Amino acid sequence: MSISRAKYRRNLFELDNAKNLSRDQLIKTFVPIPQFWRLLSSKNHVILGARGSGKTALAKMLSHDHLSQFPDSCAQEAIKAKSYIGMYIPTSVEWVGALKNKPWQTEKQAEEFFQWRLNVASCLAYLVSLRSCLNTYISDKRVRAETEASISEALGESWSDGAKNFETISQLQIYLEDVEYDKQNQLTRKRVNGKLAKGEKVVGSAFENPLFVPLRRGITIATRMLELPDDCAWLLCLDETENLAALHHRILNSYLRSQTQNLFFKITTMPYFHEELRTNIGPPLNVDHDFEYVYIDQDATIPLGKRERVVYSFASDLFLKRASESPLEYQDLTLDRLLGGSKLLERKGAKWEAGSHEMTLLRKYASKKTIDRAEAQLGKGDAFTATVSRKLHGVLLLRDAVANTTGNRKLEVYSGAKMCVRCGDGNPRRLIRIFNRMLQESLAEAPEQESKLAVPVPPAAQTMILRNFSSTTLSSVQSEEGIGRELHALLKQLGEYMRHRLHELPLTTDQVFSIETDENTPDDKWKLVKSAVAIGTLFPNVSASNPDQMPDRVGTFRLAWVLAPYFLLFPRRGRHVKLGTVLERAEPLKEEVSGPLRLFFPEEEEENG
Amino acid sequence: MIYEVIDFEAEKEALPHYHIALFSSSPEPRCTWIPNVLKEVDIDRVIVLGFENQRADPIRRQSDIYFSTQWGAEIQVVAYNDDTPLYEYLKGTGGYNSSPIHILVDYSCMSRIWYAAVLNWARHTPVPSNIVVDFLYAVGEHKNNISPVVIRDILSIPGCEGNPIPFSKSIGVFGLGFDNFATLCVLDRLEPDVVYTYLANPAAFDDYPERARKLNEVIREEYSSVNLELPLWSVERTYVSLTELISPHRSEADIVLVPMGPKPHVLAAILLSMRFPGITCLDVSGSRPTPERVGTTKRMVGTRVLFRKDNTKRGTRHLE
Amino acid sequence: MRPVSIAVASDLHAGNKTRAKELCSSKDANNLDEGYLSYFERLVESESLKASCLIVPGDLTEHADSKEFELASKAILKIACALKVPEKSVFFVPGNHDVDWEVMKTKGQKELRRRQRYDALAQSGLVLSGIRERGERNFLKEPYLTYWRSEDETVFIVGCNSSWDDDPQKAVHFGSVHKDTFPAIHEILATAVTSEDILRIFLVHHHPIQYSNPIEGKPDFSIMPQSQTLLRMLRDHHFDLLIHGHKHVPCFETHVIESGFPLSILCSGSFSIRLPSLYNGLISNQFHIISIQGRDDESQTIYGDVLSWTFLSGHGWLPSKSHNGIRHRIPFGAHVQEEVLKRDLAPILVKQLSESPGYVEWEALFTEMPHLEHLPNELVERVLDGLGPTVGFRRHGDLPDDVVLLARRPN
Repeated sequence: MSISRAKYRRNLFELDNAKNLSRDQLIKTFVPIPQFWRLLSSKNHVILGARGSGKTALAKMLSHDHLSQFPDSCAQEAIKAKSYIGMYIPTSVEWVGALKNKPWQTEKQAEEFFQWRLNVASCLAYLVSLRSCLNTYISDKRVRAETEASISEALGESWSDGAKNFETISQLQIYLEDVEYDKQNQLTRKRVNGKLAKGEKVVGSAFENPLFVPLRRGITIATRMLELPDDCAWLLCLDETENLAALHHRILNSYLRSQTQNLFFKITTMPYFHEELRTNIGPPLNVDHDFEYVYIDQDATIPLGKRERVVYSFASDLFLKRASESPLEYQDLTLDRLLGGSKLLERKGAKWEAGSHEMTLLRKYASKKTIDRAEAQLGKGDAFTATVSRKLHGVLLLRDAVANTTGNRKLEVYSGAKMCVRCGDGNPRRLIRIFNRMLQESLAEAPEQESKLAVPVPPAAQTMILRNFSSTTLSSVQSEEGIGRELHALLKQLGEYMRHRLHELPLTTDQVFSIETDENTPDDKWKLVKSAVAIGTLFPNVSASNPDQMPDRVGTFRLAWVLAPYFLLFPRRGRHVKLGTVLERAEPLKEEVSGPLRLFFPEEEEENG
Repeated sequence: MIYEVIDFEAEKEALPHYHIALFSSSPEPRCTWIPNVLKEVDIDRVIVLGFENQRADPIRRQSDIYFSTQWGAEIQVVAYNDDTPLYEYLKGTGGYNSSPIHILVDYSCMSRIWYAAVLNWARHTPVPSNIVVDFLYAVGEHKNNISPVVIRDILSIPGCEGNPIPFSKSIGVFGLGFDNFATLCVLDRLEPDVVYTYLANPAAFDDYPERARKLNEVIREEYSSVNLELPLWSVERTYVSLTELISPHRSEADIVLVPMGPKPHVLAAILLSMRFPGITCLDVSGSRPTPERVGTTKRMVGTRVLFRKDNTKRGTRHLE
Repeated sequence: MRPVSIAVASDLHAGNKTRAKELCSSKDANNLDEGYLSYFERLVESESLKASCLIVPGDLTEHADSKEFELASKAILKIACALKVPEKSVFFVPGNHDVDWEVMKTKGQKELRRRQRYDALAQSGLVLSGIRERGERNFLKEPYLTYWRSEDETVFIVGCNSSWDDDPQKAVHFGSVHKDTFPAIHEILATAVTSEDILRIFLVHHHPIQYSNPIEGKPDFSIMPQSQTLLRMLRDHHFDLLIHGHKHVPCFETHVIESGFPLSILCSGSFSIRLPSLYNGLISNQFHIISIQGRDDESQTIYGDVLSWTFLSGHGWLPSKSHNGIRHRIPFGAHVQEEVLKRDLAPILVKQLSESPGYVEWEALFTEMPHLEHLPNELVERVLDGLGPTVGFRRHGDLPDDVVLLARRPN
């Protein structure tokens, strides 16, 4: 048996998923977005974000044991005032997997079992927050231990039907975990034997109460014993609810619809995965009345011109916070130092004059109309910049670089701090993964006798990393649940259409990087568009007046910039084209087979073998 | 409880008298190889399972005829994720007087849910006898360039629900095969804090380990802390090694096994999950546009799982 | 008495049943752990482990052939080198697997076969022969006993060959002590022990106490038949430690026989055998360091800790946990009867708990009662749980490091 270890030592950049960062690490590396503070309120929210967009970080940070440690004045004020007590429950793939593996249950049994498990899970989440409250609000060790003992005793009576005595939260946690485990075992045993053994009692009958009744009991006890104010809001953060089935959502919706008193919900899910608004008690949920959406992938309230700066600032903060928690060699590192400048996205040193390199490229690749317009505007300062150079500078360089990259020459243009951030789409998980790969490269390139990092990472290496990352992102789509093949085909068609326009047709100042859907978009294609948004391969254009509203069939969606390196596209917003137009013109693609990831660049494929 | 897991060579050893044998009829040619090898073995009752949606397939039809004519067994059509019929078939097996009860399972072409049901039955049946389940697997040949699988569903294997309560970290243990895209997809959905991987080496053919390494380069090099290589031919070794791999995390973290490699490795993962509380084992099911016709290599992997009646209080993760 | 650290690596089983590639004699073997000893070196370096001596209580090999002894010898040297233990401070006794059964199965000339059964072990050029020759007697010949004294006179080891009578015909391979061994021990201790303070270790392969098997339905019959006599003798001669192998289930306990001198017994488990799946999740391969910090002036008993590490696939050597067979740290050395401890502790706790702030941290009691630090965890738990209702406190936290005793408020 052989073992190989990962090529590079693990560092904090590899821990790109907030779900399982240790608490302290998450708190230290958390970069709050404006939407975070909206969530700290006595309202029900449904948080929409593509995979990797930071929903879990937000949900976890709302929990009391995280928020109480967050060194921010607003957070500390809220904690001190006992305004909010957050609790965190992930309805993860594994958790839901134990619901879905019972196809033999009737719908009623499935509902009851879901309720039962959610009751147990919510009580466990409550205990974590309760412990945090005790540590935060009671400084005297003895009083704290006694209060814990009193609360534990009272909870034990409720949650175990008085069968057991509990003195500590730990004992209660163990009990609840055992109840969950025993329940699953009992269900299996009952199926094997057809019935329960003689005299065997049903496990966890205390949790067969209606949804959240055991949790409410806990809230009542804690409120009394910790002397919490009447307006203290308990925030139940349910993470990853995209994994839940419609019947589960209806149960939750029914609860949201009815009086929730001082219990409020922060539900995270992917865009277009919160479509079930029906309840079991009559009218469906009413958006903005029963709950509000909060969309976190983009902040449409920020003017377009400022958005790139804001996203770059966020990415930079993310990097710096992680670096400060990492091994020594990373601690003075900045994005700019690691990755350098971007030729495509920065126009430093560009001289758009008659006879300049830029004008030569324009004449070589642009359409006649564009050339004429440019020549007419040449020398007109801002007008030329706004209509020609700003729109075409990077595109021309890209086209030229691709055209000239043959044989042994390597593409270098997908490089620079701004490019890496752009290709991360503002998605924290993507950004961290990209940063990590760049760091690994800088370690690998460093000569042993000198400093431990080679900075900046060479542009060719950056380009290869971004293109590989782009390729992996696209290839993995093929296996996405249910629609992988079709979605992959759609994205390839979109990307290939855009690539063709950029590299094979005369350039204009309008580059296509978005698609438009409308009422005529077929259902199956609309379904794919929604899935693409959910996994972060398409991003909807949302309006500043309604920044949390997802387009309902009618809308424009830009291709994720993470796919730009793969298709050799210039990552910018660009013009949109009707989806139907793209699909009509696309050639049928050959079936992709399982194999090593292939980059979309024939010469490179030969090199890599 | 699972008492012992032992490798054995079915072709070389004298096999016991079996109270029941479970086979599976499928479009894979290898589904009849083991039954053919075992023609002379003494078996009281033979059950042959088959998926509903493969009935029209010509090779499946041939297999159905084989089982009908050679074993006198009609195909019991069972859905992929349904284990209810298995408990019906197993009811009363061996009676109350046999000890041990011997069960044979050829799991080469079976749903994991089905053979997990056999294990659940052995764990929970009130029959006082000890139970021995012999698992046999016909090692197959997998062509290059198979079309990627599209995930249909991810669920916990019944009996392997673990205890997914949020701890401070989660451990994802991925068994790797040739479906690298699907593995990455699941990795992205699960988001584990720590990733371990294992693949088969030695495997069915000499070039398979390198093929699996190359296909899974991304997860191995960029996400995984430890990459084990464990024998295809020894479920016992795999079972023990995986136990050691997760040992430091027992009682402290959520452990999720995602076996996406060859079936003997899947069996080892299921056994591990059933043996220790708090460990989830997931089943990632999917479909390919073109079904893979896995040929037989005429070699098999034999695993004997011994169950003992356990009268002590069942273990929780906190009794360890 | 100066602090002493004894490293223990038992039951290497070099041959075809080991899990370590460096110890495997078979060319065809698959699925071995590569770099098993390199991982060990890494552990030693990362934890800065050191030892005064290295002890190997037998079953160095699987079949006692020369190739296996060569491999075992090299491995032992490597372990010693990593721990900075000089070759002169390495000691071993043979186990039942170190007897050449192939020779003994050869028909005829029974006496000759018996003499030949240790030929492979005795081959020259190995560190093993050096160890054997440094012994004052020869454990391969009657009375199958030897002894060593460390150069710095801190450690005195009596090594007993309990496998002298084992052969392939026996169904159960329990060890035994030769009839002349007992008088020989008396004689050695009467003449060879020059200091009362010296650490006295009895090294033998088989076990003189009965252990439970973690596997139900697998009773253990391999206890030595003369165990009672042996233990009494060790008690009478104030042996501090008995270290043995043979059983692959690690265990450490202190036995007080007839209110006599306490004897700490380490069952060392196995360093590198491939354990069967029967034990999966119950025990793992083990390495130990017995760290003796001193000798109590009053009772003359040694005190310290036993530290254990386990080997796990994918991780190398890590601190052992209960589910690996033995906890990482086991304190030893204080020997108090449960009722006596309760009697002594109760007034102290009553006083401290009645004062502000109304709780007591367990470690804070060590200043008043230093021997508390070296009490077995199980004893402390029983005593505290017993005193709780009467004295009026509740125990929070886990031993040995994190316990607070909290006064209950009157109702």
